[in-house]
Amino acid sequence: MTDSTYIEARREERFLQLQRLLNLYLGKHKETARRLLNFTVPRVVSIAPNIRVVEDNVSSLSLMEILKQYASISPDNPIARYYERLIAIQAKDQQPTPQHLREILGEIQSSIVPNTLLREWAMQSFYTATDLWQFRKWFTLQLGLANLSEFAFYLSRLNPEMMYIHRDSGLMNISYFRFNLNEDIGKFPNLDLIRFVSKFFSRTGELMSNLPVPFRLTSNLQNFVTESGILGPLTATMISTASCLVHPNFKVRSIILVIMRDEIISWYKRVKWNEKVALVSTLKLTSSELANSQQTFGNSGGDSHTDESSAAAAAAELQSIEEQKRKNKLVALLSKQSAQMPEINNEELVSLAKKAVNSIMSRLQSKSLSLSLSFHNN
Amino acid sequence: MLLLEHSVEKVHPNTLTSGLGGLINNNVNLSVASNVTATAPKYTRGSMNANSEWQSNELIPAELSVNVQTYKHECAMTLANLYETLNEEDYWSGVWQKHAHYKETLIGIAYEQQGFFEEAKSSFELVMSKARNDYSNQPASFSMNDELCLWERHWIRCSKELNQWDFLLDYGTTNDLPNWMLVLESAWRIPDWDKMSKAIMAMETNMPSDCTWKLALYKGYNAICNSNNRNLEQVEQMVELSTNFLIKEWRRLPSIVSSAHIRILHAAHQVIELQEASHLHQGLFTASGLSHPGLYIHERPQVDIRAVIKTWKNRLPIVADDLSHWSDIFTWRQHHYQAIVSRYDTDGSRINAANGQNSLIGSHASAQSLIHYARIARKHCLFNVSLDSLNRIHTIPKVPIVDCFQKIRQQLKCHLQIHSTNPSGDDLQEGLSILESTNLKFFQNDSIAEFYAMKGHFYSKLGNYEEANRSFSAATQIQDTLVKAWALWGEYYDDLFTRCEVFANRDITLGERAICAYMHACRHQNEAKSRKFLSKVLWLLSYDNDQHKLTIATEHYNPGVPPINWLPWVPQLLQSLVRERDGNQLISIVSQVSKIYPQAVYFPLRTMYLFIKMEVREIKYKIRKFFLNFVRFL
Amino acid sequence: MWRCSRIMHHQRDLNSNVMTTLEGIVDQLMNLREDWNEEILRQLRLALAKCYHSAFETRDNVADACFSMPTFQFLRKLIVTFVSDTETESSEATSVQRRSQITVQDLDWVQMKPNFVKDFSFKGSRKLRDLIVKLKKWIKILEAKKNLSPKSWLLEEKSHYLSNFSNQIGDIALFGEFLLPKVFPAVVSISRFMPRVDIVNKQYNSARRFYVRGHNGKEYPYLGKDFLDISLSN
Repeated sequence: MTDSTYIEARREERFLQLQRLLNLYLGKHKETARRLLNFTVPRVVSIAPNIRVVEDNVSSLSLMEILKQYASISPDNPIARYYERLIAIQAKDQQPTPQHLREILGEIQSSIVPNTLLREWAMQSFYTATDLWQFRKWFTLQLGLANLSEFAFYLSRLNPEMMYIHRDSGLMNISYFRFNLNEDIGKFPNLDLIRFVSKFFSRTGELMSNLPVPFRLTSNLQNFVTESGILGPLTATMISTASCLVHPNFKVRSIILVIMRDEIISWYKRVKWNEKVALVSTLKLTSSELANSQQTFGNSGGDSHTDESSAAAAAAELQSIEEQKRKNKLVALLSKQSAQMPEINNEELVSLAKKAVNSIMSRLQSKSLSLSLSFHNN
Repeated sequence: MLLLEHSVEKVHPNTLTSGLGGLINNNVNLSVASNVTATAPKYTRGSMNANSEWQSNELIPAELSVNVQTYKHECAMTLANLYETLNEEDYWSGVWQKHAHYKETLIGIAYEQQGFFEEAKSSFELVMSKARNDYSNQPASFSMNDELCLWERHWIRCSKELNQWDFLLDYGTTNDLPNWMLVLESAWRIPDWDKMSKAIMAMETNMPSDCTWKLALYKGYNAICNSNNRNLEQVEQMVELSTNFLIKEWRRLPSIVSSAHIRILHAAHQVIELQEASHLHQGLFTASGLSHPGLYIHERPQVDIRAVIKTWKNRLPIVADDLSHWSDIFTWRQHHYQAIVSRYDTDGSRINAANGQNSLIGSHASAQSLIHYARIARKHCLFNVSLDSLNRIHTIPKVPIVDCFQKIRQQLKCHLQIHSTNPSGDDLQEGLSILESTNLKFFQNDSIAEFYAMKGHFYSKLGNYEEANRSFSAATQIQDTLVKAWALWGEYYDDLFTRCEVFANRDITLGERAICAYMHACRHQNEAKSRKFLSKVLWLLSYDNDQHKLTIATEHYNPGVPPINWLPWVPQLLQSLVRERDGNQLISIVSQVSKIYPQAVYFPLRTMYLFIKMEVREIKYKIRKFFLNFVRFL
Repeated sequence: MWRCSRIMHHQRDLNSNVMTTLEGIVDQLMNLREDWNEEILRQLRLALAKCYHSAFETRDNVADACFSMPTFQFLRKLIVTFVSDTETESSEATSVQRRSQITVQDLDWVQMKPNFVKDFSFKGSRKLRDLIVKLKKWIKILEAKKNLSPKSWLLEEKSHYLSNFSNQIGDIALFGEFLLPKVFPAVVSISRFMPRVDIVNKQYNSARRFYVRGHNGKEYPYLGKDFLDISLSN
């Protein structure tokens, strides 16, 4: 638990650091500067591996808190409803069709979480129309920045509890954003499998885009930001930010490279660590299996001394010698590596980091960006 | 109806706020609101009121779209107009995205929104000629009217941003019905003071009330610069008048400062410089009015001139401001810089050291403002505007040598930037030929060094690496503290080093040299500007070999680099520090940073230390547990 | 690791006053950490999030889906940490011991414990659905308990050092003031910690909001919180 906490905290801080560094360039580029686009980055300082001090805005709250506090709806309810409906469908030995899913969504929207909720909350939160209008404008711009980041930097999905909205300004900071690196390799419990997989899919350590949508623009957000907000400022924010980051004079690429370098180094450590853990647990598994087999052997031995059983005993002994050899090897391996964490070699580091940054930069180029925008506008 | 009357009379907006706010909150019959918005265009056009705008915006898209199908177009157009008056360009385009009839209108708007005014302008021209064909036989429908107006208005705006004022002046006067507003805005820049006077007369009676300040301002301009109509006393009056109008306009805007306020701030900038210009002229021409200008009279205005020029130099618009605002400010100043030059040059028949100097101050300031304008245009990626402005320097007599240097420098940068956005052109060749034709003997050492550095850069871009290296080396020999030279040299070695396809074949010495050059570049540069160099150094460390050559080089050249430049990279330094490969050499760099910024290093270092400790313990624990199992099994 | 400690030693030699102050502050800030109730609540909420994640992945068969091995281990660890009084061998032994001592003393928890163990020992069904229901139930119970506890307290109660801190003790800049370079006059330093500390509920955990007054007279709210790993991959 604690390890992953530390690592995830550093991963988040790395992205925050990148945002801080990029703000300089957003202020220098005309189209971003005149829209006053700036990532809202709170000051975050870790004082221990799992504890940190975060600059706070007393007026900020997350989308999830709006749901809970303003509408007094527990976020569990819509989820529960979704599964109830699924069970009902599956009880008839069917799988839900898109039509079904649309119905479920429609039902949740009409009976639990109306898609005008955010809008209503905002209408009630502000006394004057001017305040509300300003809030919404800033919200739209900041959403544009968050959306572009999520898409272009291959970040983890933007969930409603990650989005902190500052009521006093409309600014928005996102917590828990991290680069979405492919680390499937760490999940396989079996070493051979890892080798097998990595032989055929050398895609680990690359940025992943497995999200069904390029960024978050749910019907509640849509409803609040309004159509002309999406077609106007939201789109303009995303385009001008992207064009700022690919501006040849700013050399943003070299900054992202450095950040990705750290990300890859820590990714590699993490993967190797998981491999090691996997290795230890396979050993445990085999040893307990062996213990079991010995036990059964012992039991049967108590009953009779037939030739068959002694042959089995010999086979088991042979097997256990084999096993022991393998284990000795592994023990040696483990104790040698135990003093230091495994490190990625420079060649691999360079090629992985470059690959990652190339995919980020290509997403910032206009073509793929306009694709993702049209995805939402349709 | 109550609301309507209010907006006609343009009362204080807070009255409206409460009225409309109440309307929204109490969910009063929406059809009333729909009538308001449907009939609003007449009244609200030109009136800046965020609240009515907000109201219509809130109502139209959702609730009203069904109810007022018949008025939908009108509503949308009202909204668009309001956004335009409020300077909310993005929202304005958002409305048009759904209501434009021609695709080219949208393309034009999209270009304009991102600052591509040349493209936007041609797009508007295209759609205008298209519409001319489409409607040559039949009249355009009423609903097309707004779009037709949009084309002209935004075509004009694009031309303004592209600095094509002479063109606009022609356009404003040649029509059957002269566009006096446009004449007013462009004539003073050319300058054509006769037309300016005419335009002022024409607009005197029918100026839209929210632009009254503009009329006063231009009258002031005319009173100073129009030699047939010079009246410095009137200027003071005009300054006061326009200030008052501006304050009134400001009061009518919502209390939260937003893009609508920026126009007023821009205007205030113009007004204050009108006043300062009048002081300057008082200095200049009261002195000249005397028949025997003695020495002491010359000295007095000179101080004033210098003070005004200094104030102006320090009071610049920001990069986010439109180029037309930069032009507003710089063109106005340009007139006075030129007045200074001609004032002292005409006196120049009687040779006088003080006069000569004053005239030089004028031409220096004049050249500088042209160069600065070109620089901003380049930053806005309007390269043609930038090069035009640089070429206009030749109109100034006796340009100081420093300004020649700056001019060439901007020209080169412009070509480089064009090349990086469009590598197919021959901008590199052009840049190189500018350099070749420059006679270096007039320049000072650091200018010469920079020219050499630029030459090296162009050569390396063109693939002539030997020549490039020679130039860089010459540049740093002439002036070894020149950031630009070291930075470009570093880039050159960086390219050569990282270009190598096979990782194992990389030439570490090239990497060392790149690091050496980048570290030199960081020595005399602030953090923001050296950020990209240090990021490159940190990245190059990934290419290090077993002898840690690159890390050693980094440490070796670190003395002299201000620790503050490392500050944003503390996490990266620490990450490298604990990497087995390149750690040791970095200790001294981290120590240096921590000496001056103990807090910046302490927190992350402590966290990392504790984590590593935990990690090691965890591994040991796992292994011990494994051994225990193992032993138990045996 | 030795490189880190060498620099830390070096730092202590150079700026001994600042370093002692910093160490003092960090040490005292640790006192503001969450209590056992909040910690269990946080773990359960995380567990619920994990369950939702695997529920979505097994949505092809909602009725029969079982929870995954990692989730099981996660819960088992939770029980080991908070329920068993026996000494654990984990690397976090000390903190866990401290925790279990506190939890043993808490009467409420002693009463709740048997039920808690019963619910999460999984003798019977391993269905994801059942687990989700149980988690929700326990989250509710603990939330109710939490609502009874105070919403804010005085800094003095937890840390004498912080509440008496002033810039005469040491010139310390605001947390995170050096994340980006600032020229020195612009750096805001801490003049004192304000007496009130609020307990703020966030999605998964609760955090402590304390207020720092800068030397410029402005108050800066900060949250002290345990970082959450909300990545649902494992």
